[in-house]
Amino acid sequence: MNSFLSYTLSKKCADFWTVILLGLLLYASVRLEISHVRLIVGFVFVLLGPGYALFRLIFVETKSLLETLTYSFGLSMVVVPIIGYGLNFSLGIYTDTVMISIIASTFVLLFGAIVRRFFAEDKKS
Amino acid sequence: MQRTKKVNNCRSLIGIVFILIGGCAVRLIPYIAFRGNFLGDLDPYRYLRAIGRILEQGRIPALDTAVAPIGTSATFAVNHGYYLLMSQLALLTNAELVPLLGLSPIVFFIFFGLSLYIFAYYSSECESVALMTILLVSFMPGWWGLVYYLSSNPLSENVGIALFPLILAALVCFLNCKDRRYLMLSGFMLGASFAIHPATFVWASILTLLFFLTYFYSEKSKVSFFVSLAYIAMSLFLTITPFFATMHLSDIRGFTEAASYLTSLKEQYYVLSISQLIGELGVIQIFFATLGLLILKDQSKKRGILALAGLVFMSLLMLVSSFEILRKSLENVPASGLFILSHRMVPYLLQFVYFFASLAIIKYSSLFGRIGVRKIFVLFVAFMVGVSSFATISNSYNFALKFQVDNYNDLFKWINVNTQENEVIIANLMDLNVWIRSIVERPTVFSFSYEDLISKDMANRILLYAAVYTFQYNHSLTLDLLIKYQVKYVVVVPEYHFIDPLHGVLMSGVHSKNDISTYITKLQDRNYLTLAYSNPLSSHFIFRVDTHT
Repeated sequence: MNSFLSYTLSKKCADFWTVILLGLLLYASVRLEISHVRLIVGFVFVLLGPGYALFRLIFVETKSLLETLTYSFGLSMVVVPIIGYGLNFSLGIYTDTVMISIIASTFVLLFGAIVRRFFAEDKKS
Repeated sequence: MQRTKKVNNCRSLIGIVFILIGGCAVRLIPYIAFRGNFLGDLDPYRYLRAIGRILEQGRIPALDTAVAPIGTSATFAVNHGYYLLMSQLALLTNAELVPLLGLSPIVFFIFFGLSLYIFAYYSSECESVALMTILLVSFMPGWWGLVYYLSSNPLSENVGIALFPLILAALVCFLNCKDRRYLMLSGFMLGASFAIHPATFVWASILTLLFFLTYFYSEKSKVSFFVSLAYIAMSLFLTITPFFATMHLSDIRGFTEAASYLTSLKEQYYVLSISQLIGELGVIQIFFATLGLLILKDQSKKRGILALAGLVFMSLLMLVSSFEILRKSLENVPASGLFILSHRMVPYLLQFVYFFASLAIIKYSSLFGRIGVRKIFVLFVAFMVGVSSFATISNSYNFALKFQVDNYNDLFKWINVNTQENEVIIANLMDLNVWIRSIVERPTVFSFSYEDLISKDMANRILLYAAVYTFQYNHSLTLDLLIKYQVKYVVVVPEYHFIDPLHGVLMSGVHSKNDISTYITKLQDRNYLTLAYSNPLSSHFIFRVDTHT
């Protein structure tokens, strides 16, 4: 358990923390209505965040920057509408529900990716 | 060795950035011309209202999920995934819808450039080929190729076109390295593309099917059968989802009937002739693409098989729509738009043609032997692309001119100032009805937009326009219809486009200056119409309806 915690806090997980930071920044900018930050972070997070998390969950090993960027983009185009369908049938599509579900699903996928990466590295060593 | 690879990667990255910045600049021209206030074309306004309704209601409105016949562009109108993506983006960024939609094609163009690069790279295993492909696609498309990934023309096609090469790229990657995770990615994106842009789904599915048939044939393994079964199951699961999003099944029926009715009136769709298609793709590019095919044949590269299948399949589709007998027989078949609206296929075919052209340019340049000469040849081609891109830039500018919604600014201003929000307005140009509804937010009675195609009394609504704008119907019928639909204002512009149900034809054309003054005088003879606004410069007129007389 300790080694997992120290692994998540290590440099190897810097990309995960960046996404998490972006998610939190988006949450704060929506809540505090900081329009410019919300515009930029909202765009980046919606178009890359969920896709990146899913891509990292599927591919534990390091991939090239271009491949990662392209698939993150592509998978976000796919994941975000699916989240939208889910909201359409349940809570409705509103700022709060959209924000929480996109951020939460990205975090869940990221957590899965960290766990997978940790076990993969553990196995290797 | 590793350092050389890193330097090459870095060079490719810089190349991609420069090419995509250039491509974005070309696509920004219409957005700048519209000053971010308007959207080009008519379809984007349909999307605008659909997304607007999601933002208002928090749910997908009861939209069509019907596979409509060709009568309208409605075959391509099942885009819940796109509405959901854009509405969630709008909610989280809090951006205004028109500028957001206007700029979205630029963002999707970047995604498209990256996807195509990945596809071309996997299919050729050569960075230069991939770079040349995106260079050609960025600067060389003709009119229709450009329209579907052009700024200010936000369409679900923007996303579909970008997803298409990525779905195929993942399959090529699976073929190259036998990593099933790529297969999973491809299936996932394919299934979801149905919700975003069904045409992409259908065309990519057919190519995927061809891929699996070839794969079975070459591998002859039971495992590959189960792998493909899992792939199909996953993509089907995602395909079914959009159907549950529409709760009102009666609307689906109504929509299909309406689209069939419109089809029965007159052929309304655009088809490219062979010569136009050659013009779209470019003679030199077709020449190089043919040479590229020879390279593939010589080297019998397995990884290029999907690009080849794509080229052959999309070319065949184009040919189907070019032959009138085939086109006519398909016309009323549900979803036939996916197979006969050839102008919408151009951007898909273009990717494969330019890939093969790039393959030829790069591979044949190696025949020059000396690296210096080779580099000069490639630079010469790149320079020629740069010079030829003026045609693309001009197309981009012409697009902005073609859809100058602000040509009607005087009308919009008058309506804004002089009418109430709930007063119903009709216009003799169907598109103008849509713009009045979207830009000045006044109700209209009918348009070819999907919301109107599900109205139960569509025939009467169509009749109203014919009764008001032609002189073949008696006044009492016209008056009855004006009262029934509470029409307060009648707009007349020189361009007209509406249906005359009596003769079953689409009335379409432009009144000349002399013609329109006679026409206006005849309309003024009707005692229930009073001229409220006229602009002799633009020949725009608005009549007030007084039903009490």
